Amino acid sequence: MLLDVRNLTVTLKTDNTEVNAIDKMSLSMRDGTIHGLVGESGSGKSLFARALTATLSEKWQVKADRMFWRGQDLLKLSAEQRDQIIHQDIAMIFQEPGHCLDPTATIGEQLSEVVPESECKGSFWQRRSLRTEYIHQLLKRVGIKRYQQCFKSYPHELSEGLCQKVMIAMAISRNPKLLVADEPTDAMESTTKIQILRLLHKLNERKDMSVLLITHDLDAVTQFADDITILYSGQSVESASTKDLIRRPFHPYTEVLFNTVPRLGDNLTPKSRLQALPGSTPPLQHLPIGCRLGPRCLRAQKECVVTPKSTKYKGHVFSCHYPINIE
Amino acid sequence: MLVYLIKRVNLLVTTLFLLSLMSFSLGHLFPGDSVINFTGQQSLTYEEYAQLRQDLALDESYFMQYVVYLERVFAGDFGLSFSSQSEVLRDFMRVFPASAELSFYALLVTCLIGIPLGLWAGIKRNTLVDKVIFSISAIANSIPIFWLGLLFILLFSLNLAWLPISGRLNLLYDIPYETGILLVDIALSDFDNKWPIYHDALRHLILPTLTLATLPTTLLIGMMRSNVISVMNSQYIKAARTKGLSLYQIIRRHVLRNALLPIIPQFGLLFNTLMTSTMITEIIFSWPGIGHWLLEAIYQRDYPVIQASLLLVSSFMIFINVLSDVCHTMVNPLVRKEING
Repeated sequence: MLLDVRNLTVTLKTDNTEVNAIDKMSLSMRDGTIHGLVGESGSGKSLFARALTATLSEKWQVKADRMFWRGQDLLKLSAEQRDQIIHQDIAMIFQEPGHCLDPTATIGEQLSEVVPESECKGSFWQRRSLRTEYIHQLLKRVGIKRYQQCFKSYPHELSEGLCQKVMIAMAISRNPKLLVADEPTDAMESTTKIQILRLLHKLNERKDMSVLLITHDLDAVTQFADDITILYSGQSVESASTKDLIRRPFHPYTEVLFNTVPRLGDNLTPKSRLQALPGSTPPLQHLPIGCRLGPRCLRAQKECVVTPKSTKYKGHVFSCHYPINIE
Repeated sequence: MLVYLIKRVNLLVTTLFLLSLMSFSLGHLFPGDSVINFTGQQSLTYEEYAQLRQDLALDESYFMQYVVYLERVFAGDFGLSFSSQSEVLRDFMRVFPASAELSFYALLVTCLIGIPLGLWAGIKRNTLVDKVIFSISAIANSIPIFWLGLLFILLFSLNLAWLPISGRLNLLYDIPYETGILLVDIALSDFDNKWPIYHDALRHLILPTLTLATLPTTLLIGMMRSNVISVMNSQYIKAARTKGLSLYQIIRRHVLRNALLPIIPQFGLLFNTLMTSTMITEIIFSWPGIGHWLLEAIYQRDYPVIQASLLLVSSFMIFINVLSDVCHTMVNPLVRKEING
């Protein structure tokens, strides 16, 4: 098991209130897989990534029953030890890659600061050329053909897709065990999107690098991810392998979520209504108690005011009092 | 890039043109005879007067007069000073190095204090350090410079008697005039024991430099602080943190450059305040520089000097402004992007 998080709670502390933005979420990830983390906007996907990499500011408080990274509990380590492990093994890429690169430094300069020292052993004079060579290799590996030109460019001279490739190059320079991709293809053209996702897939297969793919793009996630965890409003809803989840969801939200995607051959009549749950996601200051899907759930009953425990059944992990598709 | 440079040069030339026009019209607007105002020669015989009037083309149209005026300006002929009866340009060149020296040291102190403190306050935002730095700079910013200078004199010269009150150097030392920059002149002079002279010159420098540096320093701290805060909140700093760089590395490699670059064009404005403060400071500390010279000229209604120094000082300021703008474009890739596309 690469990553095993149980009952993670992330609390936002303000002067007079405390809000659990993530409430008892669980996620476990196998070694060498692509794991999709799916949820609507504001469901706490990015928050999870930042809690994992310990980059949250002080007003957020992170608690968990356990947060195991390859057998070590990250929350029990000191801040320095944790940072060391995270920087060694976990890399992260973001949405809007153009904003994630220093606008006043060339790509080459920015890449050279993440090249590990071990890669450029040699005399003082050789080091520079070794480093450049290593960066060229990196850029080639992420599929940038005109790497020499890219090396000298400033971020604003590159397209978003290229910037994301540079970010990926930066991330893989340390050969991380896990790449956290926080909506890497948000606001990108579909061709670039597929390029980036294929690249991640390729790196996952060849380099044995696990990928945590955080997205709200269901198409992408069902195509590339091995396992999927679904979040709703900070609570983990259901988690299983992609195939199982599509074929036989146990949680009502999962079923609704996959039904919202219109498919070819569904015989949709023109101008008919698309499937969706009534209502909208609750804002942070008005979170319902118990199961947060409760007010919108079609199967909700009295018991749903109590937060459901996560249940394991046929390879699925789900949290619901009244699951569907169970005989 | 070339188009940009042409635009900037165009701005420079246009402003200089307007300035020269104003300076030229002053010759006519000042009370008294315009021949005397333009040349500064007060005791003239009738023949000399007629000759000068012809030379200056004062009988012809204003346009021709302006052309003649420009020719004289380019030849470096600003006339004679009323009070000293020596050439205005020579007087200017004599006092200018002293002002330039003082401003340069003040600018140096400003950068050495302002940039680190602004950076520190920005990084430790909303902590005690930040509040202390910010409130001290706010207080210093609101103290008038003439009062501050007098206060320094009262405290350090009169009460504590640590530092000299005024002047550039003790009268005991007679340093021959070479470049006008005192520290260079001392180095060029052939005295045997130079250290006491340096020591004395530096002691004279401390108070005027501090007085002069106060206002620009506070401005720089404010600019630096807000820039650092906005850079620290940007996406790429957050991304750099996940790359595993330490805070020190992030500051050195990303924050400092990104916060400093937008300040470069502001330096032109900073220089303007500095120039005005220099004049006041020079009066307080009897520093023989431009400000001292110009105010003296105003008291004595030395019209050729006023006319010439208006043109020279403002041209210098505009030149520095344009220069800082061009420098900024050279070093900041983001501005180049806006220009190119």
